[in-house]
Amino acid sequence: MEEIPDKELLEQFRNPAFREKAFNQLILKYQKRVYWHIRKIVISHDDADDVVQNVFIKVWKNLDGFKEESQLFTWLYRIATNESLTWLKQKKDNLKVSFDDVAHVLSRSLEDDNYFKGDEIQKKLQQAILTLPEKQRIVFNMKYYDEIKYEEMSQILETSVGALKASYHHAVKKIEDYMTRG
Amino acid sequence: MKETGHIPADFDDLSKHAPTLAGIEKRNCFVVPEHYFEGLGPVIHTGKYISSLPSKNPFSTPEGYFDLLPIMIQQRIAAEEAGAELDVPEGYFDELPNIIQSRLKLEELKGESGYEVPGDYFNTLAGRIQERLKEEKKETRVISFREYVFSRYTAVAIAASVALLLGWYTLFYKTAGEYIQPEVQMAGMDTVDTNNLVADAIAGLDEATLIEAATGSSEEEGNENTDVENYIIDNDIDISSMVKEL
Repeated sequence: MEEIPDKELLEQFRNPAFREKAFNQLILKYQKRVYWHIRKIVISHDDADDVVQNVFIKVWKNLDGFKEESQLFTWLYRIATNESLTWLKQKKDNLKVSFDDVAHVLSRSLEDDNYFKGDEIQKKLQQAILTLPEKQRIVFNMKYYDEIKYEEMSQILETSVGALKASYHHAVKKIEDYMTRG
Repeated sequence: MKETGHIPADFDDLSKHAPTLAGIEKRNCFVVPEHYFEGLGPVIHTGKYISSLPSKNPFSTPEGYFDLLPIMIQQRIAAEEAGAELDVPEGYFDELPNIIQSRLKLEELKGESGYEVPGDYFNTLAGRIQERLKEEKKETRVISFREYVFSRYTAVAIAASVALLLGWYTLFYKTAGEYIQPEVQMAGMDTVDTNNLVADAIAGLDEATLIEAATGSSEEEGNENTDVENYIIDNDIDISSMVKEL
């Protein structure tokens, strides 16, 4: 099945006769990218599932207002990132714990996650990533795993390219320290 | 992202700045199990970005998760939109518990009543009452005043006569018995006018006594007599003249 270009998808979405069909196509096109981006932030599959749904509901409500000044993909990533950070904040508030404790909770959920299949080194790497501040963690994941260009990342996170490069550099150094600590 | 210190130009070179990290196989731990992608087949073409992800992702999702995701999202949207469009009267949900409680009490009262009627009892009740009324009108018979008074007061008159006769006889026998021969006594009796005796006896009785005697005869006839008695009292009828007429 040919992937429908974003422009065509958006045109169909704006036509009431094709609105739902177009939205369904949009989900099929972007659900995996959105899901994995969220999953790396919230770790647990169940939590990721909730956030993914919230994201697409938000997309449905706001897609009419999307002015195509950026790519649809970038816009979706921004929503997904913000929703994930909101979810983390809520978790922090609900648990009444600090950031370090949330990282600990996420690390525990990583160990209990039936859908995590990494070996000990991979698990340790994930735990190292979880020690990073939230936004630094997102930058590292986007660059290291997803290989998103800094320019794209800059649009998604609304942060300068220089700040993103610095963030990534510091993240790498912290992870290296964690991994070599034994 | 406050850490904006000096960044080396080759900061992306992991082998130089993070050799341990560089030594770890670079793979996304958040991968989908291989069977999951097979299930999706060519229907979903995920583009270059997804295809560039490492194939061995240690993370996985429940089987069929992505099949159901669009449906779940559509349902959530439909539910949210339905919730946004529908409205209720102001204060509806404040009053709802009270309304439900009242309804429940009414239902309980219905259920707890030990009295029952046949299924169509109230439907046929009016008709049955109408029939009864018609039948009662047919059964009502008119009794003439003469017939009624004659049947009612004859017994009273006879009883009063007998009592008077016995009283007169006793008085006469005690006071003059010693001087009158039995034959004379009997002969004297023969000369008594019984018609006058009855009329005199009744005339000696007051109306109240007569009414009491009449009403005490039977309970069934009591109600029927009430109108007649009231008539006699209201019109101040002289019973003795009435008896003479008869």
